[in-house]
Amino acid sequence: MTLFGLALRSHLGGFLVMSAIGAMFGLANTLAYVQIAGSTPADRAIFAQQFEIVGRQLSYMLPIPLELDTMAGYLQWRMFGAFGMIFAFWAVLAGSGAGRGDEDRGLVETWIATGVTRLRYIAVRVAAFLVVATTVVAIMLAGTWVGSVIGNETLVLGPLALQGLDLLILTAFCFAWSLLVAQVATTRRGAGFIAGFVLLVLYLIDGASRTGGFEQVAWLSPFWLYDRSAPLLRARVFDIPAVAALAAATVVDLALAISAFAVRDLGASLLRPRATTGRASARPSRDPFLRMPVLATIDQQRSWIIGWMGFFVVLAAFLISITRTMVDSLLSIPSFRVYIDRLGAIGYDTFVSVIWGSTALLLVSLFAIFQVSTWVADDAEGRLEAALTQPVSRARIALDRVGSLVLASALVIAAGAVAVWIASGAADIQLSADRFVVGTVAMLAVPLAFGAIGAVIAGWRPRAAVPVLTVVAIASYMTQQFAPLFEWPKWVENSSLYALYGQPIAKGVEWGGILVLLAIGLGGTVLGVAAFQRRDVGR
Amino acid sequence: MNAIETRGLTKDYGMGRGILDLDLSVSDGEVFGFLGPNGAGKTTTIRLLMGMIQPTRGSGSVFGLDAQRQSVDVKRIVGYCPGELPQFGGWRGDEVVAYLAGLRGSGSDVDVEPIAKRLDLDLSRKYREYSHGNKQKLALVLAFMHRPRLLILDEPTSGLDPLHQQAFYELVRDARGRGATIFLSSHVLSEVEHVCDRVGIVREARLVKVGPIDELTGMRSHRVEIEFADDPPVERLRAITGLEQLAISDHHMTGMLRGSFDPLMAALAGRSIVSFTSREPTLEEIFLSYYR
Repeated sequence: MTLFGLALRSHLGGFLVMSAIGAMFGLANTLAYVQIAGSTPADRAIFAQQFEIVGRQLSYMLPIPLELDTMAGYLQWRMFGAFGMIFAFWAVLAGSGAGRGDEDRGLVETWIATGVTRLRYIAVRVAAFLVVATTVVAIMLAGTWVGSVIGNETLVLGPLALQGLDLLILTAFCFAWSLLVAQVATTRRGAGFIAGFVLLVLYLIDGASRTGGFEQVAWLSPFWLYDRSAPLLRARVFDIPAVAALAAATVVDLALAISAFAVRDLGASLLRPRATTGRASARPSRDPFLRMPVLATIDQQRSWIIGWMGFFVVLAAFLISITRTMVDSLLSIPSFRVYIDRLGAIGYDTFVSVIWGSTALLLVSLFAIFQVSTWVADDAEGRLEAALTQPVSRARIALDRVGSLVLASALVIAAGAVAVWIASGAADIQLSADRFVVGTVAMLAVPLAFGAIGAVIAGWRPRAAVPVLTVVAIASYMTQQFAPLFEWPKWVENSSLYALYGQPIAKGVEWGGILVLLAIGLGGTVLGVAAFQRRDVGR
Repeated sequence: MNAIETRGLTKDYGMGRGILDLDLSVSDGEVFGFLGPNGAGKTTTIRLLMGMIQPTRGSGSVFGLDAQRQSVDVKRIVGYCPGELPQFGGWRGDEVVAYLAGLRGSGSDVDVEPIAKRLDLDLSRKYREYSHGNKQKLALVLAFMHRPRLLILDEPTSGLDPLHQQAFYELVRDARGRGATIFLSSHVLSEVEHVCDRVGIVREARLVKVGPIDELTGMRSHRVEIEFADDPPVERLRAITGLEQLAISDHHMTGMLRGSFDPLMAALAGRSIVSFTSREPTLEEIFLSYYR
């Protein structure tokens, strides 16, 4: 297989997941719009008025909504506003993988040894991603367009294509940025974390700039440049200088990444550390945690887990800081109370409960999927086999994995929860201690369920685990979002892991759902152990 | 009780890959060499014995313990050096040792320091900074550190320089001295000859020969190339017993000589030789000559 073919194949998982997300979101949002916005001009006007107010309160996450009385305007705000971050996330994973992951596995060395120049190697990796990203965007646009046709509000293809181009360039920039960061990092995980963290900060700067914050530096954010264009609106805004600036920044990042790759040592960072001067040792580490079940894994991942804990603390502080402004704005609009009541958030405390509960839940699911991805890597890179050469049962290894996932999730959730509690107190927002504690603890049932499903898949076909869990997360989110809108049966709604969790911090625990989650967690773990017993291990 | 016993052990990956109908016994205290070219089925056999993969049929046991059903007990008495090294990325060598020793249980790392010193391995460095040879040394430390009753070593000297190969042979001798059984997989003939009592040869997923090392030496042969100053003594060369695959052209002769060099030297007496080359044949050449 050619280098280009291999490079394409390395993006297969991302291609499948992102194509599915793009097409499904495109279809779902267009069809949902018809359901929730109504069909008469009067219905549309009411909908637009209400949601423009809501959207302005969500401006820290999404662009300012405009023209919500049209499907195109709704998509511009709801779908393409969110897609910037979703596609950026994928690009970070792909860029760090192309820039460092393949190197970690020795693949780059192998290719270079065959006579492929470094320039050609990295150019092919970039080209392959651009081809895949272009295809994904095209599939997403196709899904969206088909949805608009079904919804009898066919989108004009030209502006839709321009929107796709804007998204593609943003995605390419994030890939290039991650590729550049990968030249100075020493591991794929480190590269992904640094690149992602910087992009998250730039995303928040863009969000803050919508309400007057950080305006002087907002142009530094690729998301700000992306948001300049809104070709689906009636004015067909396509900010060529902003798009060109984003494209130019992409080219510069790529040039720097390629230059760095050309001069640095393979397997090393561009920033070379000083030569080690420590004394040689022939003794095992004295770190006691490395010898303890579950804690050994936590110990190995300490930097990663601490990073997530820090992220949760920052996020918690940010959410609490915007709570009063948002709730005050919402409650000042009488017609909006109905909507707020449906959310269950009518005061500062319930608003904090809802927004924290839902955000933390999504993020901790993501964290669980990352943890499962490390199991897959352990298998592929021989660490699992090394562990199994010791006198430990496969059941012990499987339980150790799930246990460490739950404990790591508990640490991350606890850090965020403590930050929420302290920040709420500082902001004079009184949370119900009982519900907050019980809801926070109950949240662990969700990563347990994800981990257990991951254990079943990893015990059977390890490489399928992450794609399957990603599909479960997306399906759970979409089912939770759309089941009430389309009035789907209760059992369909309850097929969502997030719906099963409910809103225990805001409304109290629904034990039925939590018990189902626990049953999935425990039953899945048992099945995972059983599947793992019979599987051949090794590369 | 045999250290290793297999009965019809089979892992069939199709198209003649894997290991088929393996009947093998390795005695307690024996050093057994498991020879074969790449892809012959050596690693598959070892991974079956370690319980990493499930047999298609047949069974294997280690000191009477079933390799599948009692694999945890098996691994308690086995030290294993894999043929393909795992990737521990940013872990330090001492962390890898502590983690795996922790899985094995307390007191399992008593010999780490002396073995690491003998192999000249610095455990304070990160795994990704190790050369291939140092990774191999770490794998050997992990295999030997708990004084196992049985050592299963899959191509253990791969990547080691000659100096540290000698250190490895000393480790094997010491282990043998305390009564350990050693199952050594290799495709290096001289290495097996150096340390083993008995060998098994596997080719194309089947065990084709088991015998003592002397028998292997008996089947040893040499690839010989001679360039004569004038015409070669064709008839005398053809009359030599044990000289096979003889090819003569102009002043040049090649062949595979099995057994002693004396008949060849006698046939060459009085001839003017421009060059004489003799080398140990590859395992594949032995297979070709011995099993045709």
